[in-house]
Amino acid sequence: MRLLPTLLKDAIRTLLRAVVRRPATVRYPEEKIEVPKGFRGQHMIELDKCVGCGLCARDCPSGAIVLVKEPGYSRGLGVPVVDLSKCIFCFQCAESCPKGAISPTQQLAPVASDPHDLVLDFRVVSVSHVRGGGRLGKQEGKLSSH
Amino acid sequence: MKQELGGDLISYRRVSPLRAWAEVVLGAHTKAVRALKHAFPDLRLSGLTGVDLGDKIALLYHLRLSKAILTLRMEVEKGEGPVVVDSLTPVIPGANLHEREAYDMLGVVFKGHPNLKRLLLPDDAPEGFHPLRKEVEARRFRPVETEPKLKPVITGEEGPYLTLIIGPQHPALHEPERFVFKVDGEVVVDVDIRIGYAHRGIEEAAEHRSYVHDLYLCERVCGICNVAHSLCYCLTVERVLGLEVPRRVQFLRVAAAELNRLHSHMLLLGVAAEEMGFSTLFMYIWRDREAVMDAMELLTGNRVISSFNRIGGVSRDVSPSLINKILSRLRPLRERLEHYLDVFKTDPTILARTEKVGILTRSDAIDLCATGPTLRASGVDFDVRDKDPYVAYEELSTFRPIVLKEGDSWARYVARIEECLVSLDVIEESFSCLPGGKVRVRAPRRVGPGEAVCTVEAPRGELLYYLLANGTDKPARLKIRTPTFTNLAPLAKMLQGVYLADVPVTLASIDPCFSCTDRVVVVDVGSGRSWFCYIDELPKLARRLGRS
Repeated sequence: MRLLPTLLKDAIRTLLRAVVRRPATVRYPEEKIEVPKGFRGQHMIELDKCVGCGLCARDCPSGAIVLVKEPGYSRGLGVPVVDLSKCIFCFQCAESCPKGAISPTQQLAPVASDPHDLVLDFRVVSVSHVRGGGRLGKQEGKLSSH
Repeated sequence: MKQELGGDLISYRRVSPLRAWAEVVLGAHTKAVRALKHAFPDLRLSGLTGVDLGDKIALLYHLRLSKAILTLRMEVEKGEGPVVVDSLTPVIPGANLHEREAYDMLGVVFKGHPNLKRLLLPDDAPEGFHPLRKEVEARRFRPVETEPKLKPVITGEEGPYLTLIIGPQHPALHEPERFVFKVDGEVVVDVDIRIGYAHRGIEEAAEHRSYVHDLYLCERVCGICNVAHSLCYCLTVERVLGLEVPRRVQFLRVAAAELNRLHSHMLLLGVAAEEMGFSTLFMYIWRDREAVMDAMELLTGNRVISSFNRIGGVSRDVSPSLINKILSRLRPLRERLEHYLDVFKTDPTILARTEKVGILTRSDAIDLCATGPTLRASGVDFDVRDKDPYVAYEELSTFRPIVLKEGDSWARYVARIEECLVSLDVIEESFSCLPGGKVRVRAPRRVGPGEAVCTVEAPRGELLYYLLANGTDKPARLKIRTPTFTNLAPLAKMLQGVYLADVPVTLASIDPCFSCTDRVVVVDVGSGRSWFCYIDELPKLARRLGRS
């Protein structure tokens, strides 16, 4: 029974620590979770850098990026639109982009009951003002054609 | 060394100090392996790749000699009727499952194999359907809708044994697996393992995607050891390309791989504690594991699926302040791990549940081709990082392989805790001697033609990738041999003779990448009656059976 003292010592130490320690969990979503810098969250596509080459769409392993033709927008194949419901957040698109127009933000991917609400569209908002990306919303049937 | 083969050896080339390729005539492989086994007593079969070349099937036996990998290649004409070659199982018992996989996927019939049936595909898959054959369109395959039929769970064998079927459905863990145990009272006499319930056809899918897409496909072979998979894939592709990656990348890859190992081992240790009924320890270990997850998030940008390794580099660079953050997050871990080591070495509950349970002897471990901590806990000093070093392991002085002699469940757990401590050292060292430079070089999209075999020490053991490239942007063949696959045969061995109640703990000790059990069907051979019970009730049940 020479084990007992060491066990007791450990037990008491662990207990005391557990008493003074803060809870390991966070009351999400009341409390915000801080994600570190460089976290791969929602996309940010700077349309003024984008040339519409479509390399992001070609290399996307889950086919989440589609280039949509926009009237009055003449660069390349169109505007990249990200379907976050398909996205696996690997950011190969950022890697493939020759202009460095795509980058991850610290914004966690949103939750929606309808996958169509998870389409990230940068065409409407002036991107430079919106941290964390463009407008989320339904795509008037444009994406479903792809 | 191989010249004893004489005229049967068609060609032999040594591409690097630790990689050799040999081609033998059809049927000479058993002779070759016997000769090699004589020269290298520690020889193990690391993997068996079958490649459909159109009118021929090439079989590649990746043999792990003491350090190097020798790939023994043999070509078989397809022709009419089944393709027949001699089985290696009589020479290397561990070849059993590898050959069953090759039979299942390519329809190669191994003469002399004790139990050649389907392994990954369902038993009722159409006769002659072998998805990796080029003439078969695997995508067209749909499982036949049949009336659910309860399979007979009593084997025809006479004797005083109970047949106990565990799985395939299991709510607590991730993957389904089926075990058929033969039990004598409380003791397991024999076990048959059936896998393939989570077969996703990744190898076939990889042939239809580009190299860029395959990286993310391979990363998802296993969520827990995703860094090992993406690293091994990148190394294989880079080797075929002849791409030299910057030194900084090599050290960053070490850090990511070791963080991944820490996370995987601590996950397992928690699960093990839970299996032993020691839920407090489970909570503590998993709480401390959060530090590793946070460090992983800081380094790679995500907690679990890291997407850190890219062909030709890593996805992001680290700054000195980030390194400090990661290291300070990991600092309290050492003391905790030392404490857990103490707990595993002294706690009477753990000792009673794991000591001298599920013993795998050294010779069995070699014969059955065990790998990873399972192999090292049986006294075989083999760690890929040590014997066949990749990335920057050669330059790190703090790395040492953990080898234990006992060979029981306890040794396999303790080996993992000690590996965690080594991992911490290695992470610190790799960050402290991080060389400058770029973190990425551009890789071409088209690869090859060429072929390469790469191995990586994943948390569960040696992970092997074989790539055959044909110069296009899609691989011609990508073979993935996961460590759990080759650890299944040793698992069956170590389960023989353990008490039924110790089965979950022993199962967890190989860190299986599949589920074990909590609800089982028990069939009483005597009365033919069957009933359900929960695994918690098994000890009780076994006592009752023992009395009656």
